[in-house]
Formats: sequence, C-alpha cells, structure tokens
Amino acid sequence: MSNAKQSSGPPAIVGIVVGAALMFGGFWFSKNVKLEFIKTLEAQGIPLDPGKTISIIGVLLILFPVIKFFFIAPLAEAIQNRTTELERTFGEAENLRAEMTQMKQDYERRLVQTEADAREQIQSQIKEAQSLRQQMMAEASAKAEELKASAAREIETQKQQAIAELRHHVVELALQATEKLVEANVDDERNRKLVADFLETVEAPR
Amino acid sequence: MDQRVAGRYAQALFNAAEKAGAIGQVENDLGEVLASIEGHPALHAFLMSPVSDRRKKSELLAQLFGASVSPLVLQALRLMVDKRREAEIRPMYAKYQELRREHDNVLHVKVSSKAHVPDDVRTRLTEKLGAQTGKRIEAEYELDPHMIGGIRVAYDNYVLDGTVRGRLARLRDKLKSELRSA
Repeated sequence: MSNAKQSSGPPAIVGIVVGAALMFGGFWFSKNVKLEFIKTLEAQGIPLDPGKTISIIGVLLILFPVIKFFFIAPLAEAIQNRTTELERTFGEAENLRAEMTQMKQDYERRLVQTEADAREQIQSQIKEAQSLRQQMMAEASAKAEELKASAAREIETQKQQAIAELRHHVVELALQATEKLVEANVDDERNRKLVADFLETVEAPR
Repeated sequence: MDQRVAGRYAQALFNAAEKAGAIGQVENDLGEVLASIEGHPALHAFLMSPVSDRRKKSELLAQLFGASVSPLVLQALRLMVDKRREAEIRPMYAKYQELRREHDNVLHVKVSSKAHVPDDVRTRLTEKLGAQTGKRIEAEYELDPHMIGGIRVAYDNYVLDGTVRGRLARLRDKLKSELRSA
C-alpha cells in the first residue's frame, strides 16, 4: 500500500529541482532585495528575512527526498517486511490454530465415534453373552430332561427285567417242585400210561 | 479217528459183501469180533497199541477169528491192521451199519425209557414209526435211570420226547415264552 502511494506521488527529482530553485532563489532574494515592510519589521525588533525562509524551504525540499531515500524508505521497507512477516506468522499461527481446531474437532468426533463404537460393541457383546447364556441354559435344560427321561426308561427297563426274572424264577421253582412231586408219584402204572399216551400222539417226521 | 477213512473201508467192505450176498453175515461177524475184542481188555490193548507188531496182530486175528467169521471180514480186519488203522475198526463198523440200513431201507431208532418196555409196546411203536416214516424200524432199547417216566425215541437228527422231564421242559418253555410276550 505504501509502495502504491510512493509511485502515485510526484517524482523526487521534481522536489529536488524545486528545492534547489527555492534555495538559490531565496539566497539571491535575501542578498539583493530589501523590501520596505521588512525594514519596518527590523526597526520594530522583528528580524524577518523572507529570502532565508524561502531558501530554507528549498533546502527542506531537497533534504526531504534524500531522507526519504536513505532512511524512510528502508525503514518503511523494514516495517513492511516486519509487518509481512508478522502477518505471515499470524497467518501460519491462524492456520495452525485452525488446523488444531480441526484436529481437535476430528479428535473429539473420533472420540465420540470411538465411544459410540465401544458402547455398541459392549452392547453387542452383552447381547451375544446373553444369547449364549440362554442357549447354554436351554441346552443344559434339554440335556437334563434327556438324562431324566433316559434314567426313567432305564429304571423302567430294569424294573421290567427284574419282574421278568422274578417270574422266570417262580416258573422255574414251580416246575422243579412239580418235577419232584411227579417223580415221587410216577409208578409203573402211570409210566405205562405215559408211554401209551406217547404212542397215541407221536408223529415221526420222515 | 478219521471218519472219512472209516467210511472208505466200510464202503469197500459193504460192496464186497453185497457182491457175495453176505451183507447181514458180514455185519454180524463184525459185531461179534468187536464184542470179543472190546470184551477182553488185554486183547484190545494189544491190538490198539502202536508198538505191537503188525504181523503178530494179523496172525492173532487169523487164529482167533479165522474159523468163526467170514473170510471177507477177516481179510478186511487184517488189511486195516496192516495199514495201522486199528482205531478205525469201530467207526468202520458203525458206518457199515449205516450203509446196510440205507441199503435195506431201515431206520435205526434209539428208544430210552426208565423201565423195561414191554414187547407189545415195542411192537406197536415199531409199527407206528414204520408207518409214519415208510421204513423198516430197527430199534435199540436202553434204560435211563435218570428218567422220571415216559419214553424218548431218537433217530437221525430227530428226538421224539415223550418223557415227563421233556413235557415239563416244554411247559417251562411255553410259560417263559408267554412271560416274555406278556
């Protein structure tokens, strides 16, 4: 912005030329021209010399571009550079801050997402564990029922087997007793009767 | 004992007897010879001993039975002794009997009873069995002191059990079968 002002102003050489003209013109005016009101003012104790004043103004006009060239311009440039550096630094800081803000937001969002995921995962695991627990309980219950039924069947089988064995023993004992009874009571007559019955009923396979 | 060897000797002897028309005589002679041998333990031991001389065994058989049995039987016995087949004489006799019964359409039955079976019962039994089987019956009777009563007839692979113990066994089987199905 300062460079634009410099470029838009009058050239420095114009100031120097005008200053030199005023300096030499004022010097000449001071040496050669004695105006009446100046004499009046000197008489009244007021030493006013317009030629010197004009000459000083010319010197100032010459000095101003020089000062500007050697001091003000480097200083302005340094200030400008400093300002630019500061602006760049501030810009970078702002960018970093924005980036940090973005990162913080990302982090917070990711944190929230992670927490949500963790909660969801925990809920999922809890549900899975509950499902597994129910399944295991159902299986255990079914197995217990099956074992119970199997035991009942086994008991019933054993019971029937014991009853059958008991009946067989009863039959065996009864027949043994019958055999002894018959043996004691079979005489010749009964034996002949047995043989005769056999002869009546016998059928020999060919 | 090798039944196949005994069978071959029996078949050869039977064929020779059949040709000579002396099937029954050969069987009777064999029975008498075996009864004599088995009735004299010393003779039996000498004939069955593997260390006894075969020639002496053969000569002894000729001396003992040469006059009383048919030459066919004596020749067969001496041949078996020469071939060291003394132990096959008894199985050969049994096989010969089977061949003879088969030839004569005879069924051999073994009748077991506790007491002596009267002759009239024997006659009725052989008549009935003969009528049912279509064969002439040859019965062998034996007393079984372990029987309670009744009679049992066995032939081939059949047993006709008319004993008390048999009836009780059938009753036992029937009752157990009913118990199982109950």
